[in-house]
Amino acid sequence: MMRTAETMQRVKDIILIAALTLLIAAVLVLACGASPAEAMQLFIQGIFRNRQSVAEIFVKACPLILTGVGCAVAFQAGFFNIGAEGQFYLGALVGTAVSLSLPLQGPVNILLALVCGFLAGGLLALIAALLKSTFNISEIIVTIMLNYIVINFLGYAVRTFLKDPEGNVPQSAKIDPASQLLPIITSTRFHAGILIAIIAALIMWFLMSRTTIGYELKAVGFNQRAAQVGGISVAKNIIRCAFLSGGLAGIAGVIEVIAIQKKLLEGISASCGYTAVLIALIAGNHPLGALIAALIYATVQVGTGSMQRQLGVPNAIVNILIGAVVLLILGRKLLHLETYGFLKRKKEAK
Amino acid sequence: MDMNFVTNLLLASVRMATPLIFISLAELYSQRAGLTNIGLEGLATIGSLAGFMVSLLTGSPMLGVLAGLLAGILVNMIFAYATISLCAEQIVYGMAINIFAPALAAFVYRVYFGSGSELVQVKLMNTLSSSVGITPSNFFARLLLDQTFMVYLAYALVVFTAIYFNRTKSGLNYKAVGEYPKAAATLGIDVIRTKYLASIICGALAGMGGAYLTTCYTTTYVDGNVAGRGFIALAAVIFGRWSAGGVLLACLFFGFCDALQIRLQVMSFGLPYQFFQMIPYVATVLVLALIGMKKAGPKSCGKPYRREER
Repeated sequence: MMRTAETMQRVKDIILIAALTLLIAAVLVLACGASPAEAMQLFIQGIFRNRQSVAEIFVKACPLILTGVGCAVAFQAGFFNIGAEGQFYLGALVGTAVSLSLPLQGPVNILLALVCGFLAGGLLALIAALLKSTFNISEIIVTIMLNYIVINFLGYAVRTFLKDPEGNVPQSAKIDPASQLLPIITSTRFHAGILIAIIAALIMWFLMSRTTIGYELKAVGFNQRAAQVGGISVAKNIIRCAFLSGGLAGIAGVIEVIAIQKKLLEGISASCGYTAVLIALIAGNHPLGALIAALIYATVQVGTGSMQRQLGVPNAIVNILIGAVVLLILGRKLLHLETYGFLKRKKEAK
Repeated sequence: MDMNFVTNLLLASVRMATPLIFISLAELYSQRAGLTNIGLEGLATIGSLAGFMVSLLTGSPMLGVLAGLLAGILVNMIFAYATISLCAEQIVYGMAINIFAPALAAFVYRVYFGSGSELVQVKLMNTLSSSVGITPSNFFARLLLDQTFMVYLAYALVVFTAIYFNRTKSGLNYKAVGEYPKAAATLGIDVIRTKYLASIICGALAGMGGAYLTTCYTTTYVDGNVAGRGFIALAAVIFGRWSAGGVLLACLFFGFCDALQIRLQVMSFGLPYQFFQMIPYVATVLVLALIGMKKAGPKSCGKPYRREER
């Protein structure tokens, strides 16, 4: 009974937040001197124009799902991984290096690139986890610093040892077509990596909610001291969740290279590692929630893309809106009057 | 390498360090009150746009800086309200500012100037020597006189901050809030008010740091012009061990790395300039790993303060 009331409240909140976000979007469109009705029409048309545009949602969501789920898992265990950006790039770098240097092409190459990308991202996050669990150094600062170290290292790599010998631009050679993740729906960009992302989200959900590993991770996130007293190793779980979280971001990097860009170059993450933090927050750190939130974010991206092309409404609107949503989620607690102390006391008195 | 190269490099280091000093001091004031604000990048971006637009409209770079200050405060109030009054996670809302504020800046710029490729430029702030009408020739004269008002202000703020935090009662009270808010509250310090004050100072300084970029450094605004300085400032606070003097030295060092890196890029010595760009981040991780977090920084950083909690 309690549960249904909570669910009802949550549904009401979501509707309210969606309505307010729509209102903000309308105001922003008006600020551009365009008509909100026309913008809305273009927004929906942009999404459902054809199978390519629908597939594009999944293409854009793919890195966000992986990094978002990764952040959600880490946050649930109380490990603030702000380093998805760096883990993404290190995964992309190592994945590219493996893919280009292996003599054999084909599925084995793809698999190895993905595994190595996972390991690279995971190991990068592990640095922060080890510093946190042994010296109690803030993982937030370390992961942020590692982001920039990796981004600069990538800039160096694409100009030197990974540079395409035949080109003059700072990017790697092209991934062999046999080792690319090809589209699985014809005439769209819907590639096999998207399935990997969705499966990863499902596995993480299963892991977090149905296994002892997930239970331990959540226990550590909920109350470290209680977990320790209960015989759960805090250090082990921090390391575990950091590795998983970084690994997922690393896979996202590999997929971006071998499915979309087909080569390594700078700036390919489009800041998805940072957006992932907000995706995880919106999802309440739930892996399936992160999957859905990433898909919604990508849908809005595709829709506003069409608004930008046709009406000149800047697509920066997407990030303004996600910021607004994050604030509204927090503000939601204000709308629930019971958070105010005096009302609570009145209720209890009754 | 001639003398000219060295003097130009050092002068450039001072220029590069100035926005870092503002933004790092912003973070210092925030962390000293127990608020880890990683949204500096966003605050500086909005400050840089506000500075650009106002100095374009009024023709006065000083008013531009003032606008940057106000814009920074305004945006940081969102962070302040979320983290102080609603006790939300500081990291997540800092990141939200980092995503929201640059998007807002980009949006406003596009709407106001259109998406045309025409580059709008503003007049930069005069240096002391040019407004007085002299042209200093030797290195020390250029170092001391050939600077904008903002540079002097930055150093004055460093001195003020050092005195405030170490020599005044108010400053010690302020630091107490960052160390152990409950104890501070029992001594009659208004913790909530101090934290809001910290957020106002933080927003103002970060906004000014951003405005420096468009009123004293480059004549135009482009998306992403803050270029990671918000995170370098975060590094500078740690590298400078949470003291005003340390932060200044860290900023000068990082400014030097930045100036050197740009010269290496232009002159293509064959030295990988990316490694110089990495220095601030590597140095910060090393400092943390070597000294550890035990002696590191205000203790209540990142933790929400709930007055009713015992």
